[in-house]
Amino acid sequence: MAAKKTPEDRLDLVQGTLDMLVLRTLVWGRTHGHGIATAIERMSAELRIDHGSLYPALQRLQQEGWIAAEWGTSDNNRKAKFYKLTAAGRRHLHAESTRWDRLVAAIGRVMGPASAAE
Amino acid sequence: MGARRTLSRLLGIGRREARDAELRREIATHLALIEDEYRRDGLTDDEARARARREFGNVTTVRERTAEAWTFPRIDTVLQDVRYAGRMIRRAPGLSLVVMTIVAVTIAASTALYSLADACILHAIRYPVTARWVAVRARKPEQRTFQNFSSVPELMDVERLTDVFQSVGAIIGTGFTTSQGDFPEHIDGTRVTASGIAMTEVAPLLGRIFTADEDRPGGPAVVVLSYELWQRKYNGDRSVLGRQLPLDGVPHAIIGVMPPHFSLWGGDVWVPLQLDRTHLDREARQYWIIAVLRRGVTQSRADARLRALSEQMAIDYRVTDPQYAQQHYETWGVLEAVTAGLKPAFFALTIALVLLLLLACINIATLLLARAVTRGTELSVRAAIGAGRARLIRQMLTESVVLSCAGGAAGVLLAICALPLVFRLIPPDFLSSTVDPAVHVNVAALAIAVAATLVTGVLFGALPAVLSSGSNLANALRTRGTSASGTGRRMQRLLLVSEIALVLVVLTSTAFTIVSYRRLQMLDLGFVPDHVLTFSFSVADSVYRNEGSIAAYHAELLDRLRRIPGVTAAGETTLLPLGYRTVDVTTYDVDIEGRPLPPGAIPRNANFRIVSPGFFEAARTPVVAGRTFLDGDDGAKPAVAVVNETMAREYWPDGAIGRVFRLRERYGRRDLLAPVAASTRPITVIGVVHDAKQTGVIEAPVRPEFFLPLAQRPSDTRTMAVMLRTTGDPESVAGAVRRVVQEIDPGQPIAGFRTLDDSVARSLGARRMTLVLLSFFAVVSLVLAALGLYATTSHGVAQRTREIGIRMALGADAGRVLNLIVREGVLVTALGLAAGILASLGAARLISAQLYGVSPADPVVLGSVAVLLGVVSIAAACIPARRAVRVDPLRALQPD
Repeated sequence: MAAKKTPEDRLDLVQGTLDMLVLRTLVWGRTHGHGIATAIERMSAELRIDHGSLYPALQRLQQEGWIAAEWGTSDNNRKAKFYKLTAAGRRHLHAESTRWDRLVAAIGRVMGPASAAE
Repeated sequence: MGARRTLSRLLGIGRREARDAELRREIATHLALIEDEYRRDGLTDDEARARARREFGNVTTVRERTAEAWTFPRIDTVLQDVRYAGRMIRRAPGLSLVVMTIVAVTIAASTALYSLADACILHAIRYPVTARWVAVRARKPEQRTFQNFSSVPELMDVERLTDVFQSVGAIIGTGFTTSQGDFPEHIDGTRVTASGIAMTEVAPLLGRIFTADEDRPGGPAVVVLSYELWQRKYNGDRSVLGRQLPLDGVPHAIIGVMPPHFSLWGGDVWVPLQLDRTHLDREARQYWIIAVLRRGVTQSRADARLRALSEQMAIDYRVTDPQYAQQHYETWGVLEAVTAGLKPAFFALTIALVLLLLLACINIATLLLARAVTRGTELSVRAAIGAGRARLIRQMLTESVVLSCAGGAAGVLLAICALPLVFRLIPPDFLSSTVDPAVHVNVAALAIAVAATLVTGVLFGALPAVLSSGSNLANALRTRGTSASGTGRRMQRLLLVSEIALVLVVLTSTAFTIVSYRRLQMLDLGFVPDHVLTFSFSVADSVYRNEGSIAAYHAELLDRLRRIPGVTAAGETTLLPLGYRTVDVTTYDVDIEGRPLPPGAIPRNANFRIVSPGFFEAARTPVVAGRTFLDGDDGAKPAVAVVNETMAREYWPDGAIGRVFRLRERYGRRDLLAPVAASTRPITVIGVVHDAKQTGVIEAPVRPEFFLPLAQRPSDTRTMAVMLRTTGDPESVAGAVRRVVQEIDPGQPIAGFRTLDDSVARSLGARRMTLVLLSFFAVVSLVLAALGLYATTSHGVAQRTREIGIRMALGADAGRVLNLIVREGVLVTALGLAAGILASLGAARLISAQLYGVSPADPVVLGSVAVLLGVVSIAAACIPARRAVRVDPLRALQPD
């Protein structure tokens, strides 16, 4: 974990996107809360995960039926709660990422010239 | 899914502890995993633990925030929803108002009516022993009559059946004259054994009831008062105990006052019967036998014991009382006897109530669905800007709850206010003293009505949100203003069709009841009830000691009454038309001269009355043959009789005038009539009169009946009823009548001025009650249906404004637009009517017992009701359609 940045340097999440990111990390297979946080931080290299948001998000996603949880054993032999994507979750993720792409493209079109002018 | 999430939240309440423990374990693992990584980076255990804690953040905060997801939303979000709901309701006030009105009216109507029925029927007699309380009477199957009265030895026979009866008593209704105050007053009273008043297990309000010791021949003269008499006569003075109340000239000591609404064979005073148990004449039948079944003993078991007793009596008394072979004793539930007339009314009422509730629920559902179709766009927009599905469903739920609760609250208030009004619809006879006039709102009925309407409201309010959240957002946004989630519309149409069908059922049932009531009113009664005043009186034994003085009194009274201006005819009778219940009718077995019966045959039996000259004229009963009585038909002349058509036809098919019959056995109350003295005296028929209804308007068939002249039977005429035919309002001569009676004998009381019209109405009371209640329901349901159709069509129009605009812009004329809107209304109406007619045919069979002279499938009735409903529902659809025609295409096509 040499690449760890100090928390102060990292970006905060855009509001409402955490659910989508959690679902996205689970596409690769089941993992536990720590695994999800680490995956997002590592893949983004920029984002900081607030655990006070992560756990409520996991509850919410379960209640919507997009992810399912079960207890299992981690790589280093610890009992951990593992989350995996459900079929409904996969569909929802697809819809959300499409929406996200459009949103990013739209924002990009607006913001592009402004940042160029800087 | 939304539902699953709601459910898991609900269940989550109970599982909170377990979930928190699991979360704690999960967080502990998380911390351990971070520590593992730091340890792998070379930190010591303590350092690793400290950094892991720092990185993870405040564990308690994480736990608290996560736990929020398990519970219901915080109170401020709920308040926000409620405020928003209020705004939405104000924005569409028409529809919201309609929904609230429906909820309110339904709750009020059903609760008020049910509370009333409950008070009148289910709890008409609220004594501890009501369910086990019976009267014992003899059934005479071959003659299809009952002998309600029993003699002392018969009472003692029944008293021995202690294995089935907990207690047995005897009772008899009577009247007293009391001389307190300026006027002689008539008081209805009851003579009852100590066991008879004690068996009700009702404690007196004041003092005590009489004891077995007071209830013996020669016992003290004591009296128990009704609460009502105590209030009326003594203004509720508690010092009344021990004071004397003169009854028929004998001072009676007041020993107790019963609680309000206590009723035991009617009347306002109860005195001990003081039976002479040494009086062993089996023929002296004048008492009702009342009894309370032992706990756990069924009526049929008691009946079996009574039948065994009857069979034994038939053997024991085959020589002295051969009639025992033709009868057997049975029990008769007192509650059943009191409420028998009201049962069909209650049945009809229950059906109507269920229909009304169903109708209201359908209506609420339809309206809320209509609203949801319009709200679909709003929901889509809100979903698009990020509102979660659960949040939307919660919002819609809150709106429905606010709407339903507002309606529910109004309904409860309305129910409380409406109850006294509905109460006035009930014929006073059914309320007399047995029902608490301050009928209370029945909480169970209120709860059912509130629950049914609220559940429907909430369910159908939230359903659209559940449905619409499944549909594609973008699609919903695009189709703004053109309508139509198919599911919502189809369900709406289905609901409207069933609504119209239901209303038709209510309307046809009402129409059939009205038609049959009209037929009953037009029935040939055998007398003309309008413009007749009636009253009754008893001459005192102490004043009129012999037959001559009684006959003279009657003659003078009639003569003076006839001279009152406005009186055109006056007559006396032992039984007023419809004046008595079947159970009190007195009958005779008769021998017809020249037509002897084979040995062992059932004797011929006929009703009889004693009447004065002028009776048939006052009643306007047509004379078919011969003549009626004259003043000259007195004791000095041969005995004569007038018979009704039925008796003439059955006993003398080839002409009755001049034929002779003799009286044999008599059944009925002995105390009212002298013993048969002239049983072998031949009676000659001098006239035949038209059949007249005897005990009720609906009785089939009329029994044979004969009339004897008053002057030939004066000893039987101590208690008589007078009928006066008047030119004007019959009540207007009451004062003059009272004066005439006072002039002849200042000590003579009279009771019960009543018009004959009133008696007829009372005879039809239960039917009139059904009629009034059903009409009430019919109007409410018709209004509900019209409201439902109107509101749905209005919404349809509002929602299709843009479509209509486009059509008009493209050249559609008003007719086509009208056609477009109305077509759906017509289609729904037609389908509803078709289904309704089928359902009505089924429903009519259920109420056919209540119908008279009309077939439950009468095409004229069905047809006219269907037309009425069709017109109303199409009109309800046309009003909003007219608004559609006035749509301005320019404005309709402008974006919002």
